[in-house]
Amino acid sequence: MFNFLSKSKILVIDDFAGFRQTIKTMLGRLGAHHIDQSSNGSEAIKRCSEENYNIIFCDYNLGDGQDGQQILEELHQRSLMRQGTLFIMVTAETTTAQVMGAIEYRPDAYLTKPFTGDQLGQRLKRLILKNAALNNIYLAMNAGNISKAIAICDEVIIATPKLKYSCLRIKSDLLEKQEQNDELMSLYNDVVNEQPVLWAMVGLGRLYFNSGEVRKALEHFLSMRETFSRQVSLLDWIAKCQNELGEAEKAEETLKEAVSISPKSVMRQATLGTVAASLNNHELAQKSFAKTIHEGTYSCMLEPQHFEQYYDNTREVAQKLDVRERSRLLAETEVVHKKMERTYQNDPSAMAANLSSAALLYSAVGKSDKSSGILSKLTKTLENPACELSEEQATSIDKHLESFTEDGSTDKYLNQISSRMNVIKEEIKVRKKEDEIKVDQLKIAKKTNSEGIQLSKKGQHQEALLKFREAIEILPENINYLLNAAQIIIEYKELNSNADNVIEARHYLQDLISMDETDIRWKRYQKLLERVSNG
Amino acid sequence: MAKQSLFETVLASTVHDMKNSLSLLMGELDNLGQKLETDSDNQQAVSSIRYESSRINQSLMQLLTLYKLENNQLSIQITEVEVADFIEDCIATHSLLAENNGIQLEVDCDDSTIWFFDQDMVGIAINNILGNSIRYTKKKLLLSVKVVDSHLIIQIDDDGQGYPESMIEDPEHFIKKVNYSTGSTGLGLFFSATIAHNHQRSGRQGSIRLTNDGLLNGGSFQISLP
Repeated sequence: MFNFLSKSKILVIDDFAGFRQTIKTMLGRLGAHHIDQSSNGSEAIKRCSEENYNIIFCDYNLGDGQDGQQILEELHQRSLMRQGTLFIMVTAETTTAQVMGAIEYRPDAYLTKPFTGDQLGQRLKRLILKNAALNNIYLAMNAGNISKAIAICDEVIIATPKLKYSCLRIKSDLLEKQEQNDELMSLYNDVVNEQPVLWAMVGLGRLYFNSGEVRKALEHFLSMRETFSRQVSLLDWIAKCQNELGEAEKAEETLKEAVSISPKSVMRQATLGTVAASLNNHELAQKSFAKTIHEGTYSCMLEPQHFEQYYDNTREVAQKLDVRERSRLLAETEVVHKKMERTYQNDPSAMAANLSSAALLYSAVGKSDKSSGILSKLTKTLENPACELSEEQATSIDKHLESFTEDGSTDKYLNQISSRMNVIKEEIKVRKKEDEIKVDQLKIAKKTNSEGIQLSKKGQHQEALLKFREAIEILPENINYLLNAAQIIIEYKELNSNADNVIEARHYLQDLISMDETDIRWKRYQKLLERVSNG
Repeated sequence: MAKQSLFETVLASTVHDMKNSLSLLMGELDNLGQKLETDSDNQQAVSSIRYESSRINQSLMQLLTLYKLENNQLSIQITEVEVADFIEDCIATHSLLAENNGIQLEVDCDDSTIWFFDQDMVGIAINNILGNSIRYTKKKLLLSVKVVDSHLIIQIDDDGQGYPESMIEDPEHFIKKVNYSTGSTGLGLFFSATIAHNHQRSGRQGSIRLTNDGLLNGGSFQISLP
C-alpha cells in the first residue's frame, strides 16, 4: 500500500525475537530495507552511537535491564539522537503513557500492542509528514539557533493550524532554554485558558517555582491533583516545592506515593532517600538508595553520591540491628560494593569518595579487616594522578575520616590518607583561586566596558576607546565590546581621521562575521559594516 | 495508596500476556493474509480470525480500563487531539476488516479541528462501535465529525437494520438486560457512555445517543464530548 520507508534507517528494540520479526515484516511491506534490531538497551545505545537512525521503535518493557524510557533518556543525555528522529514507544497498555505523562523526555508517539501493518503504516506516514512540516524548526535547533527556531514555530502555526499545539509545546521548551519568562508565561496562560492540559499546567507551575514563587507553585500543583490524579510528575513537583519550603515530612509522604505508582525512576528514588535521610529516617533512606542503585544499574541517571548516601544510611541502620539481620543487610551491601567498584573503576575521584564512606560503614559494624582493605585501596586511589577531587568530594572524605574510632588495624592507613588529603586540599585551593581570578577578570571586563560607555556619553571618545580596548583584551570574543569599539571609531571624526583606528575597527567587525542573523544586534552590526565600507 | 491486591496483579499480568499473544497472532495473520491473496475461501477465514482477534483485544481493553476506572487507578487524561489524525487511526484499525467484508468506509472530518479529550479511551470506545457496526451494516459505514454547540460529535452511521428499540431507549444501561441469544451484550455501549460521562468541561458533560434515522438510513451512534 505505501512505499515511503525505502530511505529510512530503522532500529527495532524488543527483547522478544518474535515481536521484532513481526515489526520487521510489517516495515518491509512499507518499503523499508534498512532495519537493525536490538534485544536490549546497551546494544541499542551502541547501535545509535554508530548510526543515525530516522526511526526507532522501542518496547517499553524490556525485561531485565533498561526500560524504554531509560533508553530514551540516555539517548538524549548523550546526544545520540538528532532532533527529528522519530522515537516510537511500543507499550502493552495505554496506561503506561499516562503514568509517563509530562516528563522531560517524551517519545514522539506511543503505539499500543497489538497493531496491524495498516495501523503501523498509517501512524508512520503521518508522523513523517508531521516531521517534515516541523523540519525547519529542527534544523534551526540542530544548528543551535534557538531564536530562529522560535520564529519558525510561529510560522508553522500559521501555515498548518493543525500543528498549533505541537509547535507551542516545542516553542515553550525553547523559550524556557532562553529564559524568556514573560513570553513563556503568556504562552502557558493562553493554552491553559483554552484547556488546562497537563504540559502547560506543569509548565506554569515550573515557571512560578523557577522565579522563586515556591508557595504559589505548590498551591498551583496541589490544585491540579484531582484532575491529574495518577500523574507522577505532578507528585514530583509537589514534593520539590514542599522540600524547598522546609516541609520535609510532607515531601516524604508525597514521594512515597509517587514511588508506589512508578518505582522505576532512579532520580525519584534518590530524592526520596535524601529527604528521608534529612528526617533521620535512615531505614527508608537506606531502602530508597538501594533501589536507586538497583534501578540505576543501566541508567545514566545514577550518580556516584548515590553510593555514598547508600553506605552512610546503611551504617546508621546496621548499627541498630541484631546480628542475624545485620549480616543479611551486609550481604546486600557486599553486592552493592562490588557494583560500585565496577562502575567507577575508571573514575578515581568518584571511587575515592565512595571508598571512604564504605570503609567507615565496615569499621562501624566491627569489620575492621574489610575496612582496612578498603582504606588500603583508598590510599592507592588517592595517589592516582587521574584522581582530581572536587571540593565536595574532599569534604566528604574528610568527614568520613574524622568519624573513625581508634583502631589499631586502620590507624596506619588513616594517617597516610590524611597527610595525602592535606596535599590534595592545597591543590584544590590553588585551583579554586585560579577559577576565582577568571571570574574576577570577567567582572573587570564588564566594569571597564560600562566605564567606556559613560566616557563616551560625556564626549570623551578617545578615553572611551581605550576602555573598550581594555575590555576586548580580556574577552576578545564579546560581541558588545567589539561593537562598541568599532562604533565609537566609525562615528567620531576625532577617531576615524586616524587611518590606523579605521583598520582597527575593520578588524573588530571582521571578528563578528559569524554573528547570527536573528541576533538583536545584527542590524547594528550591518549598519556599521555599511558605514565602514562606504568610507 | 492502597496496596495492589493479588487479583489486580494477576489481572494486569494476564491481560499483558494475552495482549502479547494477540500481537503475534495478528502479525502472523497479516503475513498469512498476504500469502493467500488469490484464494478467497481461506482469505475469508483469515479475515474472520482477524476480526475475532481484534474483538478479543477490544474486550480486554474495555475490561481492564473499566476495572481501573472503578478502582481509581486510572483517570481521564485530557490532551489536545488532532481530530482528523485520531479518526484516521480508528479507520486504519478497521480498514482491512471492512475491505474483506466488502464494506465501504467513509470519513467526513475537517482536517484542522483540534479538540480536547482522552484519545486512548475514546479510541477504545470508537473502535468497539466501529467493529460492531461493520458486523451489522450492509454495504457502507460513515464516520463523521462535527462541532455543535461547543461539543465535538463523533458519529457512526450504518445502512443496516438499525438498533433494537430496547437499546435505543436506554443505551447506557442496556448492559443490565443482556440478551445472550442475540450475542449483543451492550458492553461497548456501556463503555462508551462511561467514557463520555467522564469527560467534563465548564459544567458540561459528555454523552452518547443512538437513533435509527441516521445519514445512511440505518443505525446511528453518536458520542458527544464537551
